[in-house]
Amino acid sequence: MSASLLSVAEWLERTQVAVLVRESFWGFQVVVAVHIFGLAWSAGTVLWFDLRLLGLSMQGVPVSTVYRRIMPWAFAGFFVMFTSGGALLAGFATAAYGNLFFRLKAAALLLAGLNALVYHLVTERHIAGWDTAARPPLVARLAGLVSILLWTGVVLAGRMMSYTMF
Amino acid sequence: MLSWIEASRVATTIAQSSMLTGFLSAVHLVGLTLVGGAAVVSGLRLLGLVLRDQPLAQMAGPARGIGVGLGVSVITGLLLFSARAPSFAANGFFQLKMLVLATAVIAHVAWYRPAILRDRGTPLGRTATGATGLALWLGVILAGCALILFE
Repeated sequence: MSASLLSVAEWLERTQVAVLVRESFWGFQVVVAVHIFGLAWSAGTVLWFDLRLLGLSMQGVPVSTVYRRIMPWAFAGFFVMFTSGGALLAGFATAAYGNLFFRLKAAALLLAGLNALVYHLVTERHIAGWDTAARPPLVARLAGLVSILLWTGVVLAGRMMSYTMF
Repeated sequence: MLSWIEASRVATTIAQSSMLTGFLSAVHLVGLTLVGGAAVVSGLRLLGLVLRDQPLAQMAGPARGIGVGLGVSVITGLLLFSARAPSFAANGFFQLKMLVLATAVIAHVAWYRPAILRDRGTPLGRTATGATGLALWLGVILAGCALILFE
């Protein structure tokens, strides 16, 4: 498994995008700047949906309304963050593969995705019963809390990569 | 003055440890993410682009969230600045960031927060406040991102 992941990392580093990120004079820094901007936009916006799930903000607005109106803006930021992040990862895939903070970040990202999936597939099915509640039930609040913790972990570990990989 | 800051015990401890610098930079980024998201949500609401049919009072959280995020970023930012005070102070992007930051804080306290928390102002005034606030906070973040070019 890990040998095949490493070979994927080696292949990624040979792609054109990877070479561009590594070898152009400003390429790397510009992509990092775009990545951080996309992150502040997207993770920062998702936070307010999570806080609504926790019953700590916008209590007077139905949970589904907050999701429908706010999340499209977060998704725009996610697109920027994932494309720039993908380019950065390609450029330094083998170094990232061996980096503890990258592994923590990847794990936190996967778990954040899983948390969102469970929320949409299971928790949200009963939303009719608590959509307008100022304080949603424990399962929904937990989904919000877990999302905040995991995204904070993604941001912290992601920034630490810059200080430990090069 | 700047070299004195750089020579202080706190500053040299930070400068000598890349892990500590990285950690402070990471927490700085968490604060900035708080500011960015709170500004996006409340700014878009003032502009009438999200949750237009909901009372402005529902945006009290994001309006205060900007202040909380700013607090986290300023504390960690000051510590990061101390480690390389003279070189930061001489950097054009840093100067730009501080200028936009000062303008953003003034606009936030004078117009943005009151517009949301006290529901003051005309529809046009709200739009102008939302646009200015959002542009200024995103401007601070962009200037911060530009600083990375010189790391």
